[in-house]
Amino acid sequence: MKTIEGLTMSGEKIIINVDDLHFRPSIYAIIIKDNQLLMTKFGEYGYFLPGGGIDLGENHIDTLIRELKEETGYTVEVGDLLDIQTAFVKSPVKEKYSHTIKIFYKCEIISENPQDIKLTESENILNFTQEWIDLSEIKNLKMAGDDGKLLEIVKNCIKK
Amino acid sequence: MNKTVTGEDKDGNKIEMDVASLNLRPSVYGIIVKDNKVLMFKQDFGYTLPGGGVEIGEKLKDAISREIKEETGYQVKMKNIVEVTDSFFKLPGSGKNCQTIRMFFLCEIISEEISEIHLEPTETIFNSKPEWIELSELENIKIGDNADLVSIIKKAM
Repeated sequence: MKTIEGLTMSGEKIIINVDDLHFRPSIYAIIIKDNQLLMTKFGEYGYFLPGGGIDLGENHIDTLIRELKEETGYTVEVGDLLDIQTAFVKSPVKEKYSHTIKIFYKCEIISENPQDIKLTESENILNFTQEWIDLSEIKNLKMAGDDGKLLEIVKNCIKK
Repeated sequence: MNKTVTGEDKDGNKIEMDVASLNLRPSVYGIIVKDNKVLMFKQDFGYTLPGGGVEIGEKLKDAISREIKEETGYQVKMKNIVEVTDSFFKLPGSGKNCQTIRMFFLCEIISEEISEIHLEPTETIFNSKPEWIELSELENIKIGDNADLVSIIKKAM
């Protein structure tokens, strides 16, 4: 059986059977305002960015706008494409293994409508919250399901 | 009523596809430029960029090297991402409905050595072969792709 090195949401290395994997393309926003980055906290698992999985039948830019609205209540304008990363991750909620393809875009907030916030069951289980994090603090945070590339992407976004 | 999405068949005809029937098929394409020429894949129906589907468990950089080596014989290294597009289509052959996230990367040739080309049956029937196209000629060739490849290539420059 073919296996591959992957990671859990807490960042522990695990071996995954390739046959157990399924594709999970997803899209995330880098929103920087007043030297702070908007981040999503997955309870004890740590931090990542707002965004999420691309649904079947959905255009990826529409996914990003929808996810931001549902998770943060912000209506955003999608800007530059920044980066793409792949990871093989075990889902913390279901016994599922994902071949994730994470697409990162720079975004800007156009308006704020907290009544649009609508979290999914998995997001509620994970104790999902949004926080503005000082750019200087990002390197000290525990990241959820990330292999250390996020800080690099944020740095490249600032340089642009 | 089931949710549907508009896609295309192999001849570019619009078709309605049941969302629940879609198979996710991420794919990667390379933009390789050398001496003011871009490496393209010539097929009966027009020019495309070399590349193809990512296999499950395969990293993007490995998928792009594998596809480009099979289709053009060149060994390349993946550089930065240039564009991402969505496409909904019916696969010729199996008839499967697919949702493709198409990722276009700038690539660089890393070896002078050119290996033998290995095409899929779906590529040989279109007489596919690699060809270097002058950047100044891009506007004059027939593009065989629903994505705006000329703009994507220019964006990579």
